[in-house]
Amino acid sequence: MNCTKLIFSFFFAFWIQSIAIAQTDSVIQAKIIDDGSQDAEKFYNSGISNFSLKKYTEAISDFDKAISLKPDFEKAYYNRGATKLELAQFKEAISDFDVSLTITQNSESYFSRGQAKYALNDKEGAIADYSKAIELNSSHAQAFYYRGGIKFENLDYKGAVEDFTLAIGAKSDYAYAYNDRGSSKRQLEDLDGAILDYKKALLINSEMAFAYNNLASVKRKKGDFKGAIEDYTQAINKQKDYYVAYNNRGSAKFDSGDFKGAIEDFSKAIQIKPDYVFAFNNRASAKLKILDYKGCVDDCNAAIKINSVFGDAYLNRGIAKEMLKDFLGACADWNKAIELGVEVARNYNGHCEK
Amino acid sequence: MIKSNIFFKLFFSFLFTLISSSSFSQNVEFEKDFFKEKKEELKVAKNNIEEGDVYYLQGSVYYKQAIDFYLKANNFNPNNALLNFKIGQCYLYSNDRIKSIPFLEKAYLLNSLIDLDIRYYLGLAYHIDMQWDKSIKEFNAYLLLIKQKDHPEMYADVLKHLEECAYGKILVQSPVRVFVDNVGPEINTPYSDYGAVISADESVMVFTSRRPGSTGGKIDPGINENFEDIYISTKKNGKWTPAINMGLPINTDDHDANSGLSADGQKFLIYIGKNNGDLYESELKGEVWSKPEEMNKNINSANFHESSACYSPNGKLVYFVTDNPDLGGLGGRDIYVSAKDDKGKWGKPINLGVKVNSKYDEEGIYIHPDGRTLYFSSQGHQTMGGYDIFKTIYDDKLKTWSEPVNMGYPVNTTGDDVFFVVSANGRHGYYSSFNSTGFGRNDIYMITFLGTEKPVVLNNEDNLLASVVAPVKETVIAPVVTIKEAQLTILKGIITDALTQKPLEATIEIIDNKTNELVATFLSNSSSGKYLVSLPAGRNYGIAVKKDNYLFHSENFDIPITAAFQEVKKDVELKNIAVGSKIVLKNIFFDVSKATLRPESTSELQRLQKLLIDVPTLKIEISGHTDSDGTAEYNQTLSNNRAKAVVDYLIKAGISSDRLVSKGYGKDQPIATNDTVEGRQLNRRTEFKILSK
Repeated sequence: MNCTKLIFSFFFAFWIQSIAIAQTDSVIQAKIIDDGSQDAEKFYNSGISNFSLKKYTEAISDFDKAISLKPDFEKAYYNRGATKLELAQFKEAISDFDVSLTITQNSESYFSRGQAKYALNDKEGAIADYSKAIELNSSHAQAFYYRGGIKFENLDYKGAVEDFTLAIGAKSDYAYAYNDRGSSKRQLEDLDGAILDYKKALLINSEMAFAYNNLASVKRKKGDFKGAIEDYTQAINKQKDYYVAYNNRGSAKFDSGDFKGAIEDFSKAIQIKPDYVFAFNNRASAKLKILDYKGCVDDCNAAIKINSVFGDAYLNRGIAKEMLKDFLGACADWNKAIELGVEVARNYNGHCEK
Repeated sequence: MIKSNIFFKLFFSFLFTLISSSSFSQNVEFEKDFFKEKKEELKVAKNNIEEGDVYYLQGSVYYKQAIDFYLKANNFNPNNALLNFKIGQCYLYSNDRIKSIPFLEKAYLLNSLIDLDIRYYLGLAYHIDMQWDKSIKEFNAYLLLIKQKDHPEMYADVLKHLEECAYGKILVQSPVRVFVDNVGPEINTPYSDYGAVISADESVMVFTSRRPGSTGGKIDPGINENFEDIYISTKKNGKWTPAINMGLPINTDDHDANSGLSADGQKFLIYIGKNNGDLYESELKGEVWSKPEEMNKNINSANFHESSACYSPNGKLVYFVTDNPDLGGLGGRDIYVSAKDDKGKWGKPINLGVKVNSKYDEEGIYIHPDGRTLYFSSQGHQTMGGYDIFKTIYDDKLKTWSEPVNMGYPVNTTGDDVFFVVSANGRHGYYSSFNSTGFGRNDIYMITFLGTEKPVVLNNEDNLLASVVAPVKETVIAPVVTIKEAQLTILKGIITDALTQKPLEATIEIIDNKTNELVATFLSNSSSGKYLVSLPAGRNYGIAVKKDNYLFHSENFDIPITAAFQEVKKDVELKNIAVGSKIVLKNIFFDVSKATLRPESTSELQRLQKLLIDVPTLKIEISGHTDSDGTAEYNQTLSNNRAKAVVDYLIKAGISSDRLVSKGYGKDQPIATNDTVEGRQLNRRTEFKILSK
């Protein structure tokens, strides 16, 4: 009994992964307080156990009972909301966090409600909740981090850099924050700053394939194709099915004039992800460079079959058709590319019948 | 002792070289001593040489007929230096000039002294084959053999070849991106086919050919080929139809070569071999070409050779080539321009000047439908061999031609590249070339200009946010490549009677609305009703289509200077003057929200005035119309005032007021929707209606 009481008298935490967010090292920390109502607490604890075992429906049922026995059981609301978040029942989760916040103003409920709002694409609401969480807990690293993420998505890269910096200030080994700050700097064309951040992220966690990929892409952007190829290779070594890195390494090889090597990488990306339209279009571009115009047309056809409104594939196919002396076909493709918003095609279709 | 060793080494080395050389290059004469067992075959071979010599001795134009005989003899004895030299020489003047190389090389190997000029011929052969370094080596070696003071012309010729090789080497290193395609057997034959000209829309091709069956059936003794005749082909479903001889009166029993075709394909400049070559004009009336009329003495000289010519797109200028020294030429054949005066007479020609004309020959001129880009061939300026094609652009403000630019390889080759014309949209060029890929002699080729390499677009994405699965797409925009294209509008179509739909021969007047200058006048074809006009960018054009007893039709084309090429098809139906006929006056402009006529309206008003003068019994109503914007009262007033402004103009211009009625209809008679900008623009108009005639 004492032991049980002891357990309930301490805060403990559990970790859930964000439902909407697949790659995350962030956690949602739930804290439970023993308020003396034992039956409610029993159900409450059972709920936590079921949650740990990923028995979410049972967990919700337990939290329901705990709440019915103790209607002001703030943590039960919070945990039920967190479980609903896991089940992608975002609106219901928000309702529970709302109740939790009416009982006690706490940073975790604001943070989790922010997560739910983000999942419902209410970015403004999410930012407001993350900000509130930060107001209540100025060292809430995750709140800074996720707010930075939304600013990034809103193209406010400067604001994103500020938030990721605050996240790092609150959590010095925050590898994801370093990666994302690197990405923000990249978008701000601070390529050297981006490289430093990606390297720091990898120093903290060398298993992050995406960070190698991002580092490589910045090197490619700087014209360091050799360095880029090496880092893309690292990314692929860390994650064997990383088709994005294969596609990017292909582009780096393309940039360095190794068109055959590029074709091999694009092919590998397609092998891993057979509907990867970018890799088809890129392989088409590489084939154009080695004067395999027919092959280029075939790959563009494949890309267009996957995505019939993929303007770049029409542009490239038009270029290949022109070299095959299919001038009418080339004109039709360039006209279609323009229709799909590829403005550069206007430079090519001057002689075409409109 | 050391000296003695070196001497022996050198001696034996020399002896070895001599022996080994002679074992590979033993000259074998066509003599009995060499063919003791093959007396009969030797006799046949010698006969073949004699027969070949008959042609060989007549000069280079007959060389090609000697080749077969010489080759038979060479099969019997391939190691005779003189015969190899002759075969090499003959091939140099044949359809297969590159075939001369192995024979000349062997001749030189068998006997390097077989002919003083063998190094020159080797230089020529390598030049033609674009073996630049070998060619330069041979020409330089030849220069050491001849003295400049003894052979000044030859010396200068070799120096020019050396320059051409050096420049050719540069041009070949950065070829222009084009497709060069033989236009095919519908046009080309094993004989000389050249001088193609096209209508601006590439629907008609007229060219010269020396194929058998020329009118009169004569052979030109100077070059041992048929006399020239003119042929025509039209494009149907994207393909040229088999060319047909244009027959009488275009082709005569003399040399008849086409020179220039007007942009609309209705007027034709012809070269006829009389008087050492003169220029003539012919016009298409319906389906029949008029008898060619000799151009006046300002163009044609009595004793000199006028050849290539072309009209400016508005038909008011003619550019032509002559070697007439009385005109103050700059050397050889030069390009001149002559303007047509008010009476339709061609005026005194003006030399295009030192920027265009060189001390060498110019030939094959063509002015683009944009009216300011001149293409011509020249042996001067910087060429890679023979005639090369150049481009120069006229600056309207500075009144000067730009420095000619070589069109580059492979448009230009080491052979003669002449008679270059370009489609109105600048995408295609047509020219004649004499090279080994053709059907024989000169052939007509189409060049497709691809412009600079078109960059491809790569697509990439990265997992920029660690916590977000979806990668972020990299924004990559392919760099802009400027494809140079002609900045003009081609307006074409068919003019018909609105009621009967029969094609009409009508007059098409093009007016610069800003200056009220009559830019050009054309006639549509009486048989097909077809017309085509070229409108270079940068002007506001009024187009008036007129015919007696028909109401005139007007169009407005305001083409900004930045406008890209466009081809606009506009069929026009002319309305017979009948009571009730209505016509929209598209070139009448008012100040915004006012009834003040703008100066750009003058030409249209003058046409209206002329119509009323030409048909003195005509009574008309001028009506004003608005779109639906604004109140009914406002629109009614505005339309009343605008109609009245036109009537007032006409009264002021001398038209009796009892023939004119002005009426405003406000927004009540729309001819298009008022829901779109374009529709509202159409509804804001001035019309006139025939009340009685």
